[in-house]
Amino acid sequence: MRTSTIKSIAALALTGAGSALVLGFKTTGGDATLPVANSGSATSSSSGSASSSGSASSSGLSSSSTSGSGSNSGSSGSTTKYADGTWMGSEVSEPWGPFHVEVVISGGKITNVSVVESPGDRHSSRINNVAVPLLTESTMATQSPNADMVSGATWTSDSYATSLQAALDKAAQAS
Amino acid sequence: MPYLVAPVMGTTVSIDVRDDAVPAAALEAAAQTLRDLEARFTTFRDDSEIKRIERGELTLAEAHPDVREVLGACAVLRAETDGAFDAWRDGRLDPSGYVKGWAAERAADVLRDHGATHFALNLGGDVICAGGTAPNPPWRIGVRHPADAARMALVVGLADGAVATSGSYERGDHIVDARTGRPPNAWRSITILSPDLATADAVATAALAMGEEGPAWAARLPGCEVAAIGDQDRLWTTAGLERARLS
Repeated sequence: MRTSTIKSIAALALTGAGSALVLGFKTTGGDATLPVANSGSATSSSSGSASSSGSASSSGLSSSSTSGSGSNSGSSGSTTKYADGTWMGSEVSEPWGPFHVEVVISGGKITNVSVVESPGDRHSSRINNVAVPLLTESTMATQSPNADMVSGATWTSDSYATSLQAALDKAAQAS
Repeated sequence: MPYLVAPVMGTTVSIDVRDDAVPAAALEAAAQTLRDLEARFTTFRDDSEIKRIERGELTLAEAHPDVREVLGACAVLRAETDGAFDAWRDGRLDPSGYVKGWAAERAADVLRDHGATHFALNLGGDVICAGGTAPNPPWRIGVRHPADAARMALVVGLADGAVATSGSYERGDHIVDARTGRPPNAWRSITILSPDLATADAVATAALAMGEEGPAWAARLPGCEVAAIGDQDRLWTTAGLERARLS
């Protein structure tokens, strides 16, 4: 059972290898003192996970930032306060292998969600090209207000969302 | 200001420490505590203490003190909820509805032992926060909208304490009323604010299982504030929760 690859990502960042992957946690914009994933010994060798970085960017779903109106109780259509940048979610595992979700925030809105570090085999390519764009659309259709943490948001059966949650946690608190 | 995200207990923990002097190793130690407790309370290994107790091979007196503490608390909760919360069901022992919040409190203690005073820890949507007092801003804790994972139904500001949400949307209706064996459907999610996450988590689980009267029952417990969300965005909150609401 593997622990978080956050460690291996940090290791990559230190070694400078695979700079495409070093998105670490924040790659663009904003201040630099942001929560950086950190798990003690960042000097540990880059475990197996460095493999393919092929950032399978999801197709042309650019922003469709309709804020979920008609909502309930307090969830006014208030706009997001996510910090601009590219945010990496936690690693999650699926039968076809581990992956991360990467969220791009621009102007405080989620403008893109993509899967990175997926294995390059044919099966996962299919997953990335079909399933992820669909998920992406539903993510961007609604925007959440600013928060440090979110209660009740966990989806063990939906690892995509789990990774996305971690990425959004970071973007929200960096704002 | 170290930050850590790690998979544990079948979900994700994120830890955000704002104290400058706390080393990243403290967060890793907290995560390791969760991994250790996961192993202790697993129901997925036949040789775990939980499974051995279930089969009658191990008595409570012989069990690890952690196991005794958790199962004792589950028994108290079972009585308080008139059986709506029950770690035993159909001959199976599964205290996980209590263990998650309890384990998160242990992890928070590890952070405190390392000198952390200003932090938040989110274990699978159950949140502990500390040190959100002046000059620090309160922690802003969002509550997921039960019908839409990407939206928050409300946000509360909290200085110190815990927030747990149980929803019928999570894990495929895994919460059932132990009295009927069926998922309750009166509320889509119930959120509890409490000084202690083990309590908040268990009360949220129990209140959801109790059905319609669950939120009112939870509101009568000392230290608990409640937000319940039903179909058509029906919302029920206590006055204390309304005072904590930021949006």
